[in-house]
Amino acid sequence: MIRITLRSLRADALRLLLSSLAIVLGVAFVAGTLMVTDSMKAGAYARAGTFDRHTDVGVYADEQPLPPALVDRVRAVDGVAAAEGELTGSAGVVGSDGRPVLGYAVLAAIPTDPALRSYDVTAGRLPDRPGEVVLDAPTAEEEGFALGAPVLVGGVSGAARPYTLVGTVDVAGTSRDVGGPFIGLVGADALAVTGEQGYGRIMVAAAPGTSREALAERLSGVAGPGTTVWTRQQILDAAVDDAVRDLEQFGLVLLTFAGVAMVVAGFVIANTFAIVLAQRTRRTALLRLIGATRGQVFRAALLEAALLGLAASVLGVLAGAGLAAGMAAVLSALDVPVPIGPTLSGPTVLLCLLLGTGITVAAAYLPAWQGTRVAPAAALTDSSVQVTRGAGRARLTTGAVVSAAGVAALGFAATVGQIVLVAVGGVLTFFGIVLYGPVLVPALVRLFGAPVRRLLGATAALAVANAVRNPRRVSATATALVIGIGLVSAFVVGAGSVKVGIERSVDARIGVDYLVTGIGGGLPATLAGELAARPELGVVHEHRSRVADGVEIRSAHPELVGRSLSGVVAGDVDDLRSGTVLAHRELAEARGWAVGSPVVLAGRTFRVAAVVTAGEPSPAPARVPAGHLVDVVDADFAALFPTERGYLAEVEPADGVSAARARAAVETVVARHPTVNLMDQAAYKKMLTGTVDMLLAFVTALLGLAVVIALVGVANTLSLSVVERTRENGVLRAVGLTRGRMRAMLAVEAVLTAMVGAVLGVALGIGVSAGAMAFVAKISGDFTLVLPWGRLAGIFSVAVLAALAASVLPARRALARPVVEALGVE
Amino acid sequence: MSLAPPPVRTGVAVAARGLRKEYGHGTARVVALDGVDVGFAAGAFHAVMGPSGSGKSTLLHCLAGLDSPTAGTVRIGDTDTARLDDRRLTLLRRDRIGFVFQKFNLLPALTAEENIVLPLAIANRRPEATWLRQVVAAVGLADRLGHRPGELSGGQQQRVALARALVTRPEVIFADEPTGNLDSRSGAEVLRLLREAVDTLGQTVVMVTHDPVAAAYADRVVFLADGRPVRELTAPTAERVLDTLAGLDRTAEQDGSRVAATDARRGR
Ligand SMILES: Nc1ncnc2c1ncn2[C@@H]1O[C@H](COP(=O)(O)OP(=O)(O)OP(=O)(O)O)[C@@H](O)[C@H]1O
Ligand SMILES: [Mg+2]
Repeated sequence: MIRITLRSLRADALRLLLSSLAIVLGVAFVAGTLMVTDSMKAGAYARAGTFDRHTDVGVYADEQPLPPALVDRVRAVDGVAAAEGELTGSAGVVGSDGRPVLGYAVLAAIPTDPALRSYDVTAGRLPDRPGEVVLDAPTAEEEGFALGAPVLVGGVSGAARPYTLVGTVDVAGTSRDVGGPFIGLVGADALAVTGEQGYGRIMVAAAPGTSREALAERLSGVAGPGTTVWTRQQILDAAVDDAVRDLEQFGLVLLTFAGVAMVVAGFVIANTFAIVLAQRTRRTALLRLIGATRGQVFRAALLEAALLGLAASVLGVLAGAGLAAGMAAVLSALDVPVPIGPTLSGPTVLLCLLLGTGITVAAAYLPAWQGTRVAPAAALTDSSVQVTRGAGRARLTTGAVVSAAGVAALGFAATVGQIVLVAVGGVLTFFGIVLYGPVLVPALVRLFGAPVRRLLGATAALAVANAVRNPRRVSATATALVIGIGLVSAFVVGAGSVKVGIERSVDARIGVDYLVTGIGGGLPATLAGELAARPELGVVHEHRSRVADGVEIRSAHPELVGRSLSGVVAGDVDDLRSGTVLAHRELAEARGWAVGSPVVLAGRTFRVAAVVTAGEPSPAPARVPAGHLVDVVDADFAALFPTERGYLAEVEPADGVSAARARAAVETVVARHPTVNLMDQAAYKKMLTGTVDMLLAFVTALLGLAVVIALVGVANTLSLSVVERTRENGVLRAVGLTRGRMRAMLAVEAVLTAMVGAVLGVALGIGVSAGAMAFVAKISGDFTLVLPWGRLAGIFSVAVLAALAASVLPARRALARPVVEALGVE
Repeated sequence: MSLAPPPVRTGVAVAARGLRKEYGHGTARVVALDGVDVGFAAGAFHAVMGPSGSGKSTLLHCLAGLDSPTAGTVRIGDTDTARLDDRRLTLLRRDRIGFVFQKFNLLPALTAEENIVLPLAIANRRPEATWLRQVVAAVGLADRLGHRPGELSGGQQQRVALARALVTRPEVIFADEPTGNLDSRSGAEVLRLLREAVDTLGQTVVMVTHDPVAAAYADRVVFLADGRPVRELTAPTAERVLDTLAGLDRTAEQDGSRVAATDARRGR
């Protein structure tokens, strides 16, 4: 039996080649992902201890930063050879063009004691005293900064100041390289720039002969509560864990998409086996006729699947190596640090081979069982080309129930308040489509085929008849496309809706001309003051908020606050001034406050100016019960919480000042602060929606493979069908169908199949997105379902064009045989 | 069968001149047709007979523009098929030639009616309703039009194929063993229809067959042997056809024994 299996595999190798491409692609994705994350992990391990080469013990701050005085106390402990405070934070560098250097910049305090210094210096030296700075080599080079030259560095604490560049360091691939510049200052300068009150940790080098554990013990006593003392080993372990955790999450995201691709590949494989075994009915029956048991032919089919899966997986692993190199290139283009040379490890190879083979066998299981249920008498008939039956009643009933349940889950997810229901609904609806496919898909093919028939006549009529003659086959082919296209369009619709929601919310809340935002951190403390001091500017309002005593206290500007309110219950909003607050209704009711009530916030007494209602709850995760909110003026907020920084300031020109002059005034101030960014409203929207677009592009690229695999499935089904219709196509050519029209016929068949898959996929995607957006709309009314028609049409046209391309090879195959020979095929 | 009066068709419908067809190269070379000169008069029923492997199918394929000869010319009416590219040749088949093969003539996904009008549909032509009705009635399929080939008997399928060949009113119908797969009753039915198409419609039919009874329906029989026309009968009867075939076999046997004898002499 094994020999016969090998024979038939060899005979059908060409037929199976295309379908195994689905597995090759899926496995390549998995292998590539594993290789890239492996090599990134290896890099992370290698780099984990970079900044702790000489650290024996570390004292870490729990919540409150460690005061500089503690560093001195630690240094005095017996057995400590050196101790220095270290902190990392954000800051910015003003580039040679006078604008902030792009990217999120990391600032670190660099030890001055050589016993603790752990940086790779590429030029010059590390900073020894205040006023000196080192940068990462690439930034210094790109900006053309020379050693000894002044470099402007600024942070949250105030305007940028010049520091002398004394050296450059290599931090590539470490936790301190996140794509932007690296800035190294001595401890005191770092504290000053970041505005921090103390260090994040104290690095300690032990004196010779001192045990790390004993020293850690002693230091715990000195450091006291609010700190954690770690030995070197603990520090390294934590660093590795940290680095690897992020990578594992990243890898998991990629593997999820690879999983989707594999599922689609499974669909394609299952369909291929169903077709090939149907075409082989006569041969199977002949084997049964001469005495093979059904078990034997079934096991032979599974063995064939296993061999095919294994071969495809091997190719997939090889292709994955290529893919990994590509991925590494893309990632490093995106500034994600990837150490070069992804490695192929034994476990990766094993996992990929098992996965590819397993999925192939699992996908072939059902078709093999059905395909070997052949009566020996079938050897004497010509059954594979007959028009086959559709789905049974049981299948259709289940399909109807499952899709009804799915649609219900999508519809009620928002009402019930369970976002999980959206996912469940999507999956159920998909299975409903799969089960109902043998009825639904041919019906849609006929429907979409009708206008094409009018246009192309008999060519299209033949294509429609060919497409629908085997309902299960066309349905399986189309539904494989539904997965990828459904997910892509769900994300496209979701992203489109979220973008419109963001724009609406910006329109609703932000009514000013200019916005100043912090890059990767809060706004510098002095910024609002500097802006307010400019005579060209009128309103300057820094958004800040803080929770105290179960109440969210928000800074507000009397001229702007109206936009965020939907109504006034009592009192007058214009009475908001220093010493008064706007209390939101829920809070006022809960605490029994009325207009004029004295209220105590963070130890100061205010008077309620008005009880108001908010336009809508803020989309941020609620830190307090809904509506437990007061608005106070900026000055009062600053007095209450002087260290609380905002991320956004609204700025408007003073009366009678032109936009250009006002902008120039803002720019003059902003130029001194490399950690902030000036934007008008449109740019602000673009910044917020840009992230959504980027995520969408990322997701679409990853899901693209699933769509490609499904399209391979379309080509595959078509070319298998062409093989089985060789004689028919010979008849068609004999009675006068030209080569061009034969090609057109196959193209129409492919396009109709893909179109149905795309339409069902887009519909499913819209359904899922609608469920999700209904859910989000309950949190914020700005978010409603918006259909980005252009992009959906784009998805659709890509599917159609790809299907056209997919029909080229099968057509070539159909036309390769001379008519006479085709007519003679048994 | 009360069909329209026969259109007047005269002259030669199909003619081959110096037709050669070779398969393979070198030692594997087979000469299937070895310089065939033959003409088929319009408005007549021609049968082609000969031993298995004598080149009957090959001749038919070359005449019908399904295969291209190695040398020689084929004329359908006034058209030299060698001068046509694949596209024109296909259109010629579509518009001017009808086919009936031994089996698997039909598209399984189409109904009988759709199969019948297929050449017209491909040509984007609307079937003439009265003509279609006549053809369908003639082949006796009026109540089977909505069925797919899988639901029809072999004889019915052949009649569908015949209707398809007739519906375009081609200049010539080529049939390769159209009754080869049928029992004698269904076969007789198909042959009677071919005969009537010639008599009442003035169709030209060229039919390959192994069956002397079938050949007797024809006006003329051309005998092939070793890729060459060797004999002809007009107004044949089954007995005369049998006799002629037996004569051919005898010649072949004599050839064979002569070769064997030569070999034996050489061996000595
Ligand atoms: N595609 C081909 N390749 C090689 N040789 C071929 C091919 N087709 C036919 N032949 C050879 O050409 C010769 C004539 O074949 P053809 O099919 O025309 O015979 P036939 O008279 O129709 O026989 P039959 O009565 O068995 O159908 C035979 O010797 C055959 O082996
Ligand atoms: Mg033959």
